[in-house]
Amino acid sequence: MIEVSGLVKQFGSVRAVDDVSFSIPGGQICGYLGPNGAGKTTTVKMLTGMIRPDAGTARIAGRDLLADSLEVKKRIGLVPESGAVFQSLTPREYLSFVGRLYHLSEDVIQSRIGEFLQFFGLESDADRPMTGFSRGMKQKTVIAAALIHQPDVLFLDEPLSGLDANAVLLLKELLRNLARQGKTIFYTSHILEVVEHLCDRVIIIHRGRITADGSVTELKEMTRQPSLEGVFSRLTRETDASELAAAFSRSYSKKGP
Amino acid sequence: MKRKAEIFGVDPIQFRTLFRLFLTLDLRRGTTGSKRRLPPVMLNLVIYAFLGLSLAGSIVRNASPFLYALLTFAYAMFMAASAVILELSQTLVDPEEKDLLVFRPVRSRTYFAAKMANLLFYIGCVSLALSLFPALAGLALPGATWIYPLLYLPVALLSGIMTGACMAAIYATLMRILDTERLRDGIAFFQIGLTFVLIVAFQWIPRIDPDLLSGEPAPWVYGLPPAWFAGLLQVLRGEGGPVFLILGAAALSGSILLPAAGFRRISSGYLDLIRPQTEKIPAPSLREKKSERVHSHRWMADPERRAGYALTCRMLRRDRFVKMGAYPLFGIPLAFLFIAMQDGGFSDPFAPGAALGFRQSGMLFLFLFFFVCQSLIRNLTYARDWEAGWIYAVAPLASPGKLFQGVKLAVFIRLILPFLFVLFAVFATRMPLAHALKHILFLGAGGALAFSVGSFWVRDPPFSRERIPGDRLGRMLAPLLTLPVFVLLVRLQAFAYHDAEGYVIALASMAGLWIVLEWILYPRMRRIRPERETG
Repeated sequence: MIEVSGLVKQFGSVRAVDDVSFSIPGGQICGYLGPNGAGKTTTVKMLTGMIRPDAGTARIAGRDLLADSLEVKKRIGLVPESGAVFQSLTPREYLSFVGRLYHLSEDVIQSRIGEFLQFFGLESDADRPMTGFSRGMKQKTVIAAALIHQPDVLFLDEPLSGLDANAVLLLKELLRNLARQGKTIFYTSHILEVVEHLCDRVIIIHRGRITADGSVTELKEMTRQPSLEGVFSRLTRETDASELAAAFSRSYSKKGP
Repeated sequence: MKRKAEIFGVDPIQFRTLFRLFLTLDLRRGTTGSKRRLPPVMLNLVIYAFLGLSLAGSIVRNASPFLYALLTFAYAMFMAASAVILELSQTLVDPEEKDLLVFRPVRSRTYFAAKMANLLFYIGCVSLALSLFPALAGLALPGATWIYPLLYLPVALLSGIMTGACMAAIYATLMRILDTERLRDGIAFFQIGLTFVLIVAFQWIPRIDPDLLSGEPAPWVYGLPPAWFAGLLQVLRGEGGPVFLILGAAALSGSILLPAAGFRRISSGYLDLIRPQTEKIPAPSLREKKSERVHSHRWMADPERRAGYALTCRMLRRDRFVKMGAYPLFGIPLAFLFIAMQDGGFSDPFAPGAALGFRQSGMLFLFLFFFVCQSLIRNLTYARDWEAGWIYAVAPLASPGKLFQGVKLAVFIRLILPFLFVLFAVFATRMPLAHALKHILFLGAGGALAFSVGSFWVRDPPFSRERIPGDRLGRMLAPLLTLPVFVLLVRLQAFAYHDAEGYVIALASMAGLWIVLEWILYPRMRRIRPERETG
């Protein structure tokens, strides 16, 4: 459902994404990991048509991203890293707006809005402008907006930002169910524990290049690490974390306020 | 209708949805989550209506019907164009929409059509507000009947729509050609020129010779778009000479063909304009870093004052919103300087027997120090990254007053001092150097005083508020409420320019007043805390 080949994006002298290729079939939850500035969000932005790649091709839900971007956009859902919403709108108004952009009928929109509001426990706040919402409440609305048109492929960039523990549990279960229904889920996050338990497969990107690709078990075996955290550290860190932290702590404690 | 829209590549359902969204957002901005009920855009319309009234009142008795229409349309078109630049450029291209719309299945032409509809809706409202009183005042023109306002308003609306469409076409074309961020920086500087032209034009129109208003216009005037619409109005009134017919045809074809030709190319790639781009922020130069370090250490021992100073220096250089709030204000004193020079009222205030009338150069004091300086301080509560203002709520600030002192010092050093140097250079061409220097020193002292007066209007910490489209005009007029303080200073100015002793006493009085104001302000500023709404 997602086929990427030789994807490149350059910002000035920095090559944010460098010759990235992978293929993710339907029904799979794929974790896309990397340290800050590794190129994760840039990849998501390219695959969702927000920025144009400098080179490479991508097919999403069977359509060419560059040649048929409108059809691709109809079939994808995105939870962006920024979690941006039109804050002057209420969740109901915002979700109605998104539903109409995808040409859903009013009946379908209202029925799905009702379902999402109930699912995320937002019914009592459904008609309140989002200016006064917490980050988590806005994030629930963003997730609902990404799913309202039932996309075949779902891109989630740090989707757990601001969510409480109950909402995290709900979202993880929802994603598993969507994957069972054949949806492709592309999941980027820094919360490795969630990725370890949720994702069928993990791709690790470092300095714009893919450094590892496989199931969590395969990656652990490959790097001989007991956890995904260890795998990640091994593949992306040049210096030893404990040594670095100890040296910094010593220096930090010496300096007074 | 649906089929026609689809032929142009516009999805009617998405168009309606987006248009409705943009209108809702604009009407709710500035009112949601606050006690404010009237959107800033509505306040602007009231101000525009009064501007139209003052213009119409000043020329209706002397002008011929054609010239009356030409001047009022010219004014309305100019104001509509400046409204696009000053207030509505965000309506044209809002980068904030990138995270919300770029990945949705919306065609570029649909997005463009919704944006245009939104823009033209406001331009239509602005044009009608500006033209309401000129249309009614037109009843006093020779031969005008009750039907005059009914003909005038639709033509005024058409002229406004053409202006808005042309501005959109120019704006979008420039954004396609030039780097977006650089263009926006350019617009910040361009606004100095725009403010200058606006003020000069507004001062110049009432001074037009009555004989010129009732006579035949020069032939080149017919080439100007306002003359086309004035011609169209004459045709509709039944004054159908061949010249008016040609002008009327030019107005109609210009309103349709010019924007259509421009839009055809622009609309297909319009969505690209809001795609995420890497911002090109200039890195601080070595000189800048060095100068900031020097100011920070020598003049300000207090860390909060230093923090305010350093933050303001950087924001004035790098934040486009801050720049656009500050730079255009300098067009105002420049315009009055120009008018004073043109009127022959620019004279040496220290010369024996010099008069200090409204048109004398000494009166720049009013606009430079009681409008510009106050507005500068008040504008610095706004920034692009206003959400970062949460830091004031959590940082253990001993006194926001000290922070503000740093902010004021930065504005004075970074903006006012260079501007005073420019004024000094201009003054030096018209008066002895010593007099120019004394003049500038007096203005500088007045500037510091105006900063203190302006600070009483400050309700939020620096760079912590969102700029709302349409609230700029209202904010610019607010300092006029401090006119009583200004009158006091005009008296002081007259005293200062009387003799050497008076000058010293006036400066000392201003310094004393400044100390008193700062003393009152200091505890007042302690109460300023950002109010944040969280769930």
